[in-house]
Amino acid sequence: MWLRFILIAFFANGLCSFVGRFVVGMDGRPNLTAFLLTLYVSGFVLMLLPLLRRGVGLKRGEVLLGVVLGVASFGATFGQILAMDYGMPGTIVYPVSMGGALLLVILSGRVLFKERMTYVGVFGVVVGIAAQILFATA
Amino acid sequence: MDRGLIFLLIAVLGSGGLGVLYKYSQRLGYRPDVMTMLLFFWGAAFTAGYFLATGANLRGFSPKIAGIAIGASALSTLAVTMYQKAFNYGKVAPSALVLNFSMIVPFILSIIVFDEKVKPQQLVALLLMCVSLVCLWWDKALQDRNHGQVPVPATPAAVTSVRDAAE
Repeated sequence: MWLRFILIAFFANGLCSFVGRFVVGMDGRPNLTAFLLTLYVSGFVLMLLPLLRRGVGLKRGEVLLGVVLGVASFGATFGQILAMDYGMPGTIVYPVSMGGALLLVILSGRVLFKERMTYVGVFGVVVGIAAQILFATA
Repeated sequence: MDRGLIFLLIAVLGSGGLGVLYKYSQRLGYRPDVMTMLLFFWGAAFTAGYFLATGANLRGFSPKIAGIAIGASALSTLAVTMYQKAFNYGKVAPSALVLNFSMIVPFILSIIVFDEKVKPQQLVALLLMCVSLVCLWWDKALQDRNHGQVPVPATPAAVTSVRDAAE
């Protein structure tokens, strides 16, 4: 089941990145803020409609954590855009934000959630991070 | 401190924070589809605030871009929900790594659609990603065989204690 879910996430996220790259590369200077606003609003509506149909209620904790998720998502997206607006080159912004975020998640898995890995798994993670940095700086 | 660097730090904390928060949400038993809906709601609210604060400029925005954004939102909501569901069956580190490998998809599509050239470094990176995926699969297989426990390597001390017990 893990493989099935993560592969769907993999392809959906990859296609979404391709669409983003396509918009950034469009003629003229595309309005990224308006693009992201449309994306967030339509994503919200897409998720809300089936929940309303099923009559799903909200838990207090979910709402509170949802605010933090929104802050993190907004920070991640606009942090990258604004870092580049303030003169940081994309060749630094992309690998650092990607590698740094991944390290943060992996450390949290070990420290906060007590998830252990075999030596093979740790080697795989190290090689994976190196591959991503190499790919992003190529 | 340089403003660009501050925003880069915010981007790192935001991206990394999302993975940590998804896992935390799963531990608390929160529903992935509800969390995705709330993420997009608050993301829209903060982006609308930023949009208004920066002058609500619609220059460079067209119905075509709006259509692309709606299509992207379908993919994005699917990715976020499935990523959270994967946490019910797998660990944080390999899940985050595999999701980050999804950069291969736009890379391959760019080669097919835009006829982009492939650099040798990119080929090496792809090869390393394959090695990493094999290692992660191997790690999961080892742990599944040991019922989620990390197998202890056979050290001389462990061998001696088994031999002593047998004697």
